[in-house]
Amino acid sequence: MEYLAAGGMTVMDKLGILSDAAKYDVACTSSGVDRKGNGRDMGNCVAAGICHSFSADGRCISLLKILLTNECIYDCKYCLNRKSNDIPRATFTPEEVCDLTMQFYRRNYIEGLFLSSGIIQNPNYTMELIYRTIWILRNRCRFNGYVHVKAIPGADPRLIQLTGYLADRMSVNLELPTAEGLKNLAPNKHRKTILAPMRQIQNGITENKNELVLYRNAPRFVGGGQSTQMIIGATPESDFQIMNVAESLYQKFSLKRVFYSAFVRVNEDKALPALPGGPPLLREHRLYQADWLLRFYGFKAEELLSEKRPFFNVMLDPKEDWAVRHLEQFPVEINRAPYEMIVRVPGIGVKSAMRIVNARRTASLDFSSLKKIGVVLKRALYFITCNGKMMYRTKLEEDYIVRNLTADVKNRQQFASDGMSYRQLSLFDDTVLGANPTAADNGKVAFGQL
Amino acid sequence: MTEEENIVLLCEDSLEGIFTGIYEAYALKKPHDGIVLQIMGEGDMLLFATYRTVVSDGVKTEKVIRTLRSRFGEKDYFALCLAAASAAPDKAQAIYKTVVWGLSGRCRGSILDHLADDNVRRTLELSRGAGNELHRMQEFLRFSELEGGMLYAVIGPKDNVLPMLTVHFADRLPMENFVICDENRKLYAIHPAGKEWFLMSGQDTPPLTGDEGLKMTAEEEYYQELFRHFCHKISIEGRKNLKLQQHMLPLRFRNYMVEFAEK
Repeated sequence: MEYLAAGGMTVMDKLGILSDAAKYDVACTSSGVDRKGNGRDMGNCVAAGICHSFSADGRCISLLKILLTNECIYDCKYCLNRKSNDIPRATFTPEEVCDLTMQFYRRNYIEGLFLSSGIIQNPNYTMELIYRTIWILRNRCRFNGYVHVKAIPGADPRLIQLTGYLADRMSVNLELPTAEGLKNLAPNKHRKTILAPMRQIQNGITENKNELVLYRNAPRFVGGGQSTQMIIGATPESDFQIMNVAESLYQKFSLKRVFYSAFVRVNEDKALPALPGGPPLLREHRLYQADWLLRFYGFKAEELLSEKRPFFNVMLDPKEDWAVRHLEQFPVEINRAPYEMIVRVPGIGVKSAMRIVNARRTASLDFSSLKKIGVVLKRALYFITCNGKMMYRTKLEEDYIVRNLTADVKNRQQFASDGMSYRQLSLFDDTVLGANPTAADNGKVAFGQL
Repeated sequence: MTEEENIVLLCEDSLEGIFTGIYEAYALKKPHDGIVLQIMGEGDMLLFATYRTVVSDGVKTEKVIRTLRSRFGEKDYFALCLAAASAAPDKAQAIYKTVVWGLSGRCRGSILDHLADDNVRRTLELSRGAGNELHRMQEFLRFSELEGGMLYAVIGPKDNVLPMLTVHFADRLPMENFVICDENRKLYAIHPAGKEWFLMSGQDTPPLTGDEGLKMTAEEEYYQELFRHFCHKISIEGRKNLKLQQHMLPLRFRNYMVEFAEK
C-alpha cells in the first residue's frame, strides 16, 4: 500500500531522504519535561526521557528526527544537504509530518517529534513552515507529547517566540566552536545571527518562569530548556577552546545541554580535514565526559585543561587525569569528606556519592560496603581511605597510579582483539588472593612478560 | 530446640501475598529473627522449621499498605512495591526484613538510604532491577493496530511490571482501546477508551497473525514498514557500532519489536 504524495514521491521516499538528511543532528533526547496526560489528548512527557530504540550505530532513537525539507539554499561545506551537492531533495507537507508523528507515537515507536529543516527560500519562510507544522500537531491533532524544534537563525523573532510556546525544547545549532571556523566552512551563517535567537530563547524562558510563579496556568515557553550542538574535528580548535565555549554557553546562555558531534566527512571538499581513522569518536567521548564533569561534578573548564595542555588524555578519562595531577588533595576519607570532594574521586559517580553521604550517617563504611554501593574500586582505590586505611598498600605517586589505571586498558585492548580474557593468564597475580602485585609486576603484565 | 525453631511463612508470589505475609509475621508476636518469609515454591526447605502457608487477604494487605505509606512515604512505598514485583526468589524475605528495620524506630530519614544493612541494600537492588525493567518496557513495547482500531502489544518482562506499565500507557493514551499481554505470566491489562483499566489472567496468548488469530489493519503494515525504513536510514554508517547497540538494547527484547522483525 503506497500513499502517493504530491510530486509523485511516496511518504516512504520522503521519510528516507529526510531522515537520512537529519541523522547528523545529534540531540535526540526527550528529557527535561514532566507532563502528565490530560485525560483527553494523546501523549505525556517523562522527565527522565524515554529512548524507544537504538540504531545500528548505538545511538538512541527517541524522537522522530526528520528535516522538514532538505532543499537548502545555504552552502555549508560540512553539510550533506548543501546547495552544491547533487542529492535527492524532498519536502514534507505539515500534514504528512503530523500523520507520521501521531501514528508512530500511538504505536510507542517514538517519544515525540524532532523537527529541523534546511533553509527553503529564506529563514522566515522556513520558520513559518515549522511553526505551522507544530501548530497543527498541537492544535488539530491534539498531540501532548514531546516536541523539539530548531530555531532558524535569521528568522523573525516573533515566529521564534510563537514556536517556543508550542515546543518543549528548542535549539539553535552553533555548528562550529569558533566564529573563525564558521566563516571558513559556513559562508552563509554568522555567529551573530546564531547567538541572537539563542539569547532570545534564554530571555523567553526566564520571563516565562516569572510568569509561571504568578499565573500557574500560563502557557509554558520551551519548558525543556534550550540546547545546541557543535561539530568536533572539522576545524582545528583545541579541546580547551571547545570546553571554554561550552562552559560559557552553560553559564551565559543557561543552556540545558551542549552536544558534540564528531565530524563525519560526507562531502569531498578541500577545506575539510581528511580523517583516515574515521570520525574522531574518542575525542567526542572525552568531551562528553568533561561536559558531565562541568554540569554535575562541579568542575571548571580550566581545572581540566589549560593553555599548555589543550587536549584531553587519550588513555585516561578527564576525571582520572585531573586526579593524578592533583594528588595533594588525596586520599579522601570516605566517612568524613564533603560530598563535593567525594564526587571528584575517579570511580565514584553522582549516585554512589549521594549513597555514600546518606549511608554514612547511620554506619561507618568500609571497602566491602563501598563495593556494594556501586563504587568502582578498581579505579577509586588509589584515591580513598576508609577509616584512615587504604584498601591495599598503594603509593600515592602519579607514575605508579597512571601505570595501574592504564595497565588494565592495555590488557583489555590486547586481549579483546583475539577474544581471550585476561583472567585466564592471571592465576597468580589475582588481587583477590591477597598478594599485592608490585609496581614491577604491573609493568611486566602491561608488556606481557609475566 | 523446639522452642527456638524457625517459622517459615509461605506466601503467594504477588504484592498481596507478600504484604499479607508481613502482616502475619507481625501477628505472630515473636522475635523477627526467627521468622522467614518465603515465596511459595521457591528456595530450599529447612529441616528445623515449621512451615505455615499464608492466605492472601485484601483487608490485611490494605492495613500493611496504609502503615507503609504513612511511615515511609510515597517514594519508599513505591520502591517496596517495585521490589515486590521483582522475579528474584529472595524478595519476600528482603522486603520483610527491610520493613522490620524501618519500623524498628532506629531508622531516621528515608529507609532506603540505610544501605549498610544487607536486607535494605538487597531490597533496593531488587527495586532498582524491577524499575529498570519497567523503564525498558516503556521504551521497547510496540503496539500494533488490530482491525477495529484496538492497539495490542505483547511483552515478556523478567519482573511483573505490567500493572505499573499500564498506569504509564493509560496516562499516555487515554482515548485508545488497548491491551497489553504479559506472555510469561499470562496476564492481560485491558484499557477501554476513556475508562479505568483492569487486569485479567489466564488463557493462552492468541497468535498476532494468522487466520483465526488477531488481524492487523492494512495501515499497520505500512507504518511498520515506514518505521523500519526510518530506523535503517537514521543510523550513520561511519559510526556503526553493533556492540553498543546490543548493550543498550539487549537481544531478548528484540523479538517483540517491529524494527527487528524479519521482513
